Amino acid sequence: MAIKIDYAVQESVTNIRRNMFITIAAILVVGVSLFLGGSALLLQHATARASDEWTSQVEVAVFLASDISPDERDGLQRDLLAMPEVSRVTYESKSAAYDRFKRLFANQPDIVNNTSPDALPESFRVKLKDPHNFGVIRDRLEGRPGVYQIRDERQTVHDLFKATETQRKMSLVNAIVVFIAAILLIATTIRMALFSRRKEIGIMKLVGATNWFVRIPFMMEGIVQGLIGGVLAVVMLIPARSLLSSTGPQFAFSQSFRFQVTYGDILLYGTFLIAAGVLFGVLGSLFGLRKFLDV
Amino acid sequence: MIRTVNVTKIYRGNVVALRDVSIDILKGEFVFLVGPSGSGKSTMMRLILREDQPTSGEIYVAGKNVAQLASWKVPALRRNIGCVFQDFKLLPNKTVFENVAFALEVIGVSRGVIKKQVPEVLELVGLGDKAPHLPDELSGGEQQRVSIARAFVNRPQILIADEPTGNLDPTTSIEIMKLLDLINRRGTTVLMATHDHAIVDAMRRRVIELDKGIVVRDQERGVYGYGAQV
Repeated sequence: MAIKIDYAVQESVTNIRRNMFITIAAILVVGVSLFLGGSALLLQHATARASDEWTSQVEVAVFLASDISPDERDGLQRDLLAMPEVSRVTYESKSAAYDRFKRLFANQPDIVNNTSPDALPESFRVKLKDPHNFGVIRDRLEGRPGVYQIRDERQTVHDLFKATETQRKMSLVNAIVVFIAAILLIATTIRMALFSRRKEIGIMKLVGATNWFVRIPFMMEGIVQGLIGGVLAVVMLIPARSLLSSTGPQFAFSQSFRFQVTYGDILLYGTFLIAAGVLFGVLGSLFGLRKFLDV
Repeated sequence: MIRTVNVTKIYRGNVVALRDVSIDILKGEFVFLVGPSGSGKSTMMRLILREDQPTSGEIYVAGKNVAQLASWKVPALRRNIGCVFQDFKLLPNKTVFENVAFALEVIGVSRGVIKKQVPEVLELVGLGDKAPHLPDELSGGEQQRVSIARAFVNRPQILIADEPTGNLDPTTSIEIMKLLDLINRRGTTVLMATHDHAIVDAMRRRVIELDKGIVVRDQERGVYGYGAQV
């Protein structure tokens, strides 16, 4: 039996009009929940990307002791270059380190003025073929004369990103709670629509309408609500983009560091959010119809 | 056409609605189901329509055991059964034509067929001129005729009527009975639950009497008379 599309469309439009307020409420809740969930996902995505970008640039820093002799220094550089895990070694002199320091703290002249160029250690910047091999390098160099400290800059970055994790997790939990509210609200609107038309539905079932014939207009109603809610969430995310970008971790130690939610991200996740909205609509209406399905 | 084998229906709380009921209604018969309120008439109707399932026993409607019918097959079953109720169950915001057409629309009948069949059946029930009216604008008897038209429009094999004259005065009731008789003569099996002594006595058709869920009488060309054999 073919289900007439114009019939189904007409029925769901009538239902939505009849329960205007609660329908609007359902749409808003879907929109807000998807906005929250979407923000959390976008932040997650941007953080992961920034973190990847950064860790690929970041190096192992081998700080040298102030009393290192030129011979020891050259020997260290040779040994580093000879290691199979190492892809590149650059030397940063005290003055180069100071230049970088000045640049990083350009907006805090007090710190710069109070630091003498001599206070910063010289170092080898070591780029590893596989960043995970940090431990190998450290074990080999630890305690060697002239080596002051070995630091995995990647770890530092990682720790910093970690700090934002709680915030992201919280917004995900929020989003899930509101997701549930959204589904329940859609279910409620479907129940109300069913209730106002229970006589008609009873007759439909008695004369032999199939369950799907009865269900589909109501499901379409839920889907329309979810769809509009999804679009609403995307519309809210567009102006929120710059806000999300600035709430990301901002680090002073690299100019190349970018934490950004791009329009491309919004497009990608927006598609996903709208699909999720539709899914909410389906779930909500099935939930609302559940008791009504059999007879 | 409708056959029950040892049907028992027990509702929650151990309320026995039907106990070991076995009846056999043949194709083309006209059968009255009588008995006081609570005797199990409505339960019987509900079971035949598969609105409910028996606690035990088998119910064959048009050859199918509806007690074990998968729920997705129920719509197909109901398309073979027309239903008429005491309270008409018409949709107040639809016209007479639309109410009858509704029964065809929801089972996917094409518009062309609807345009042909609805006026035909309205003519049959004597309401050819009332098509554009709303149910509120009709008398009770006319409304019941609309509901009979709706039940009969797709020519079901079985017509089930639950107290169809319950809300009508005697004269109107006779009109309705004439109509059901006409439908029966066209080959549809009619099962009618009723309280109406006068009608049962006048029609002289088969009477099945239920009392406290038990068949106490099954009589060809019977009369009403609660249990009292005539």
